[in-house]
Amino acid sequence: MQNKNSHRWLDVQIVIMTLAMTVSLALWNLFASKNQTVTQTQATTPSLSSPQVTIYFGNPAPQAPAITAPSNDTPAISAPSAAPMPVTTTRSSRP
Amino acid sequence: MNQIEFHAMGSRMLAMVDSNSIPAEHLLNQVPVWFEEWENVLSRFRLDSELSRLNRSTGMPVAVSQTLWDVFHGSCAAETWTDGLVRPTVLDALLQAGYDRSFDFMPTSVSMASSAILNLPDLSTAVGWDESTHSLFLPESVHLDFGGMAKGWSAQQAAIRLAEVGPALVDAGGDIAISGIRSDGDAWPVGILDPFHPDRNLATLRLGACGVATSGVDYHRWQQDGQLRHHIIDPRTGMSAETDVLTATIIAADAVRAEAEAKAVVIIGSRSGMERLEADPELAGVLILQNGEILYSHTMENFLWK
Repeated sequence: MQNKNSHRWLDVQIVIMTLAMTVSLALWNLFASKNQTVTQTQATTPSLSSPQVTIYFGNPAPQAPAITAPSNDTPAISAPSAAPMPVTTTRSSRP
Repeated sequence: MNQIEFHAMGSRMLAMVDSNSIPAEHLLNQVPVWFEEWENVLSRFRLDSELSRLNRSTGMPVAVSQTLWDVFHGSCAAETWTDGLVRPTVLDALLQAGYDRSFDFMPTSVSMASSAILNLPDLSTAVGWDESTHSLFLPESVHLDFGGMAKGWSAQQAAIRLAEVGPALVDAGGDIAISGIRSDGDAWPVGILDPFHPDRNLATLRLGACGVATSGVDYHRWQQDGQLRHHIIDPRTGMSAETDVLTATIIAADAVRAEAEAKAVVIIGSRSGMERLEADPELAGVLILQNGEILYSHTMENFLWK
């Protein structure tokens, strides 16, 4: 009778240990997989701080517009176009 | 644009043709030759010129060249236009005032005693001519000097000849003849010299077919026994004109008319001169007075480049 009871207790312990190990492995596996995925995602996302280089073929490279400080002596409105340079001049007769 | 500059008739000459063709270039190179021929006929400073020989041949008919014939009749027309204010019978008065050589060789002061020659004869009544023999007859007391008229006529004649190869402008010492607007349809820009600042222009004109001339007492002047003299003789006094006009620039149909009118305006002064300009719609003018004032005829509005 005593032998029969001790076998049963041993079986219960074995089941408990198996379930505990199974749950531990399942949980381990679950968390270990999540960490690995996050790491891979971060590695494949390009860094925003890295320089972007664009190469144009067959066209001149675009030029940045020159920005100059406004000058105080530059008129805001251009003067009307002046008369063209005379081809000659009328004057009282002289050498 | 082809152009050539040279010296003739005591002045700087400029001829321009608005064409780059070979014929234009060839014809332009002929312009100094033409002026040399005309100066040999019309200059009173060349003793062997046709005019000098005519002046030495008073009292007899003398057959003259086509050039002298044309300039003589142009001068008759100028006398009519200006009511006798401009007449080439002023030679004796000019000599009396001391203007006896080309201005290039004039001293700043001459000591010849001056006396007015009061009776300057009309060209058209004093001088006889015969169309059939192309001859002129000068009375004993009459001698001719075409002066600026010769330059105006030469400029006009050269512009007419050059017009065969393109629009042309000829500047004969300030007397300018233009055959027409430029090939691109634009006007010719021509400056008016500021006599108070000879290194700059007072204004710029926009010109098509016309003549423009400036006459004045700002340059050709000298002292004679302490009296200021100049080359523009008032036929009413036989003396250098007493005028408040320093220079008169006139635009007219051709350079001969412009030259005659400019001289007339200087002789009669600013008040009568402006009245004269305003009364004739075929004339436009700018008068620069000795006091610095500038007067524009209302027709100048059409010619000023703004």
